[in-house]
Amino acid sequence: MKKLIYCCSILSLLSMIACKGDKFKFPDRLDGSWKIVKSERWAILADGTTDQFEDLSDAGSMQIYEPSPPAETLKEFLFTYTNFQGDQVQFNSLLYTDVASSRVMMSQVLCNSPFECDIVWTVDVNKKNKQVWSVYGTEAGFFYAGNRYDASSNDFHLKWTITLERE
Amino acid sequence: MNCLHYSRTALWGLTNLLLFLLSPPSYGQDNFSMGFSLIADYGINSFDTRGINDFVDSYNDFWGSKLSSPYARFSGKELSHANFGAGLRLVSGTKVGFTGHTAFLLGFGQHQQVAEWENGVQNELGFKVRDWQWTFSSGVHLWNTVFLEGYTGAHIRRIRMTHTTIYQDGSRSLSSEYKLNGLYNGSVSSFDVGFQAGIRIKPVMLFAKVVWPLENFPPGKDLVSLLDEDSPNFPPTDFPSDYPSYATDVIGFVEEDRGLKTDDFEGMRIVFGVEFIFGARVGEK
Repeated sequence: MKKLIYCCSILSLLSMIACKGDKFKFPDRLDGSWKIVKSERWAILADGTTDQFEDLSDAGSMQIYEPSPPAETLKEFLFTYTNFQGDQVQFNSLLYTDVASSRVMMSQVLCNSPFECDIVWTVDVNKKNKQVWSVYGTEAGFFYAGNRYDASSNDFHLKWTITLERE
Repeated sequence: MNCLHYSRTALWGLTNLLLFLLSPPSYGQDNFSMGFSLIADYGINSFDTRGINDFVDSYNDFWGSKLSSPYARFSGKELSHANFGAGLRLVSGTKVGFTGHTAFLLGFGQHQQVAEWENGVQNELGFKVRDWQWTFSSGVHLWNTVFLEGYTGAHIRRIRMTHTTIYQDGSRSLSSEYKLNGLYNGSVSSFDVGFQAGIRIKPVMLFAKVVWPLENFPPGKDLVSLLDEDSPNFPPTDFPSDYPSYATDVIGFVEEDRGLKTDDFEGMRIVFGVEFIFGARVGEK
């Protein structure tokens, strides 16, 4: 009888571990104030070399907080960025992530439409106090390629990487 | 993971567990023995490649010579992987008798393949699957050495498929600059049947089993697509099986539901494994 109880307990424990649902923990982990400690931009050339045209330290800040009303998978953010020419841009919108914590999406910051207006960052480094995110583009600009189907139509690509550290 | 999958599987599993515990013949307490088992197996998975190979063929044809290295076709064995778990084994009688087994198994599989454009940019099609299985088998044993059993099991497979752009410097992008980039999610639950045979030498049983999912059961699962619901790349959110219509006729693509279906990623499995049985010997204390 004791053996049966042990066996059932182990099976129940295994079931509970396996049946634990996927939770959106990543947006909660991002909550707080972040400093953009580095902003780098490159052109990626066809021969695999890169040509860096921006290397900024202390490029701005980002606050991520609960929206009002609160939503389980959404956060509100204020992104303040100063580029190499000293121009400041500010985005205030909603932020969400995918289930695998591989992308961070800034909703409708480029325009006011559900189509091609979000900035989609690829998460390169995901640590509690440090995040590295990249976004890509073509000669036509960052975020959305001119021809969004044919990757061979561009001689070079653009990459923008920001490094965030928790304040 | 869809909660419906869990609740359906849990209900099915608990019913079977109850039947399993009530099923030994009433020989009396001394005539059957229950033991704990640890299982490791390797399943050669076959999945239905029609949907994904339709994508591969149509993508390669659509881009033609612009791809210096097209995607390779899938054989259907790419998602084969190992599973590990624990369970209970019941044995009655010493020479010829009843045996039954229930176990919970967990396994992971992954596969990647790459196509390359003429300018050196690559696209990577990556799969990660996580399998949960709750298995039940029952049958006869001969001298607690040869085991022949029928098999039934509930199987949930979570699928995460990525389409990544890899640039010439090695940078990997899931961002939105190219439309197909993304993380496509889905899950498929199946109820499997089959049979297994094993040879037990002391605590070690080597076994082989053949299992296959019941066709379109639970009903309607053939309608579920792999979706990137978090992406602003919609419409569509489905990963295509018909690439030209995805690229040139989005409305037709959505109306005719030409996305890759999650139930393509289930199929017959041939499994080889080892079961370490602690106890389950009639007459042993």
